[in-house]
Amino acid sequence: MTYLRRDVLRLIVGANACAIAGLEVSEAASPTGFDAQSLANFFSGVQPEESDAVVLDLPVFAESGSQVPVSVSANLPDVDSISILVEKNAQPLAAVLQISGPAAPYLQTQVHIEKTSNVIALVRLRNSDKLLIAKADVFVSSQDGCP
Amino acid sequence: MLARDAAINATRKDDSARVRVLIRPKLQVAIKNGGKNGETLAPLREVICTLNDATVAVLTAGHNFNDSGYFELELRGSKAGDAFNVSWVDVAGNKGRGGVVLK
Repeated sequence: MTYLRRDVLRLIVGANACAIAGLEVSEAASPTGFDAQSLANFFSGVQPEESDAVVLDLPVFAESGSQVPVSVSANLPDVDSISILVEKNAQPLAAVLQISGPAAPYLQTQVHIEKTSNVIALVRLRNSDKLLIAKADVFVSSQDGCP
Repeated sequence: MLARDAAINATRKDDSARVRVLIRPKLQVAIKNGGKNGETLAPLREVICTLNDATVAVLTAGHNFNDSGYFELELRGSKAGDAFNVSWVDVAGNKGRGGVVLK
């Protein structure tokens, strides 16, 4: 397979634009990340509680933040949804999984993390307004997060 | 056109099944497989997962979800012959679907 010169140029320009745009957005938005109150505002006034029943598994160090594996499980009945948030990303919400029926409260995926940050797993229960969270730090070596 | 819409791998043990879903190959894979000039892929918006035509999970992907649309679920009480299907839509309105029969 041969690459055209214009393909190579397009990739280089795209990568640079990604780096510049990522830097500007991440500096403009959420410089300090979430505190408990901003999390509550994010989820319509309900105050989240930290719980050992929510298990968040992710690496401590990530060489590149472009695809960091994250796994969330909850040893709880009646789980309505699982959300993954990256605290210091310009747009923190990475994924929401609503489950029903035979689906277990378990989600494994990969998320983009722009810089060293807290990752928050948030579990909403079906028959109550409770929000349960688990937090973990991940250190990202690549600051821009571009692959 | 990309090589495939979705790749699904299901591993069943006792009455529990782990289902791994890869919605689309990454941009680099699209180029390698002869995609037209490495076209830009729109980010994924929503994936609806069904088991025997009943919705079991709805994944809403945010801005930081991975490019390849990878995620893994666990289904309890599943048995051989159950049909697991996904249908997805991205932010540009492109749609796709895929499925697997649990063994």
